[in-house]
Amino acid sequence: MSERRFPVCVSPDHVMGLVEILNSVGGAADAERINEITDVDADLLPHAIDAAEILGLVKFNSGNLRLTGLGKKMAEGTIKYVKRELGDVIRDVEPFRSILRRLDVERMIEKDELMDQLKGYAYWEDQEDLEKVFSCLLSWLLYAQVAKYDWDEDVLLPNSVRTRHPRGHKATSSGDLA
Amino acid sequence: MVGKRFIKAIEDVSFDADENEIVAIMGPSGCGKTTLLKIVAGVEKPTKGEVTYAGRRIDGFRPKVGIVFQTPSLVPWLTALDNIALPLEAQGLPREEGRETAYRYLSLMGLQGFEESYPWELSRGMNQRVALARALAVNPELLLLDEPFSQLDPLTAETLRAELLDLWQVQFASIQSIILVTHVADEAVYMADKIVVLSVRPSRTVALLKVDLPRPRNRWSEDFKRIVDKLYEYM
Repeated sequence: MSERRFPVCVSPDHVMGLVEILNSVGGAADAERINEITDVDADLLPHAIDAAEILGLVKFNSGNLRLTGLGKKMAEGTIKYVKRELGDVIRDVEPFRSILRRLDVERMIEKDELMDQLKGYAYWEDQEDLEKVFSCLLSWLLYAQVAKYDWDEDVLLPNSVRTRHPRGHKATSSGDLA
Repeated sequence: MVGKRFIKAIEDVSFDADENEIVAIMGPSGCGKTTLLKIVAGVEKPTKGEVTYAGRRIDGFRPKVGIVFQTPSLVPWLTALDNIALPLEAQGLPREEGRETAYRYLSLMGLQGFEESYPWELSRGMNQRVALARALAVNPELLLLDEPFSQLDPLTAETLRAELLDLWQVQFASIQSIILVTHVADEAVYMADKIVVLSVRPSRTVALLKVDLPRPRNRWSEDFKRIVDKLYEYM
């Protein structure tokens, strides 16, 4: 897996949106054409392409985008499948890899410690930027269901740990429909 | 009615939404698309004309309807799970049962892990997922979508469109038909089986287009482009 820097603040929805659009035009297209179809913010598309390529969902070569086999499967898969596959692939991508390995060992990481770890990874100017990066990171970890977050204690936990019914509610885990 | 002034929003609009059909309603801003949706939902009364569901007039009787608006309109002090459970509890479902049902729909929309998040902690896309889950959780027969993707960035919008179509194609739950208000031709052709094009206010039906393309639809197919071009002509 590539060691390029993963743009954390591109969301799973951005990456999957790009994958879905590519699939809807037959699996390959010029990036400029995708830009025309979607009218997506010029700041966002290159980062979404980067993220999708690092995750192994698209190949980008001389301005041309092509879905990989995994990308096609994810475009055609259910939400549940997409989440499971994302959970697998982000384990090999920084900064998720280091955080998840650390979580395996320490079983709990406090928010402040995570923020410290992110300082060396993402671009940030002030605390507000860092909070944003933290929240982006969290959205990946939670969406891919590779970790849980205890909102009362502000700690990241392994997904296998049952949270203490955060925010005063009884946790439920019955019957997925997906 | 605006103040004491009476504004005629809809003049002559007629269409059917058949079983297992997605109908898109397109038209210029202010042509009464949202008013039309409210009339179908039974929350606004037409001064003339009628809406029927399965052969019954919608006035005293109302089909079970789920509605999703442009903005998710979630209760800010409730978590994602509680927002989804809210209409269920309002329908009289006991709290725990409501929350269990809500959790199933939350998972369906890919929100596991975010159940205890408040709307301000979630992205726009995630909040719109909560709104969709809330609309689906009431087991609607009719799903009404009022430009539900228009406030999202294009990539997030595409993800939600695809997810909704996936759910629709596996004939999920109780939904018989979906009525989608949109102003985006590409979205209408990508999603709908039938497109109703309205004129400026007071709106009339300008065209009724069938979209017989196989799913998943290829945006680069000649047929897809032809229908999009036709829509632009009418608009």
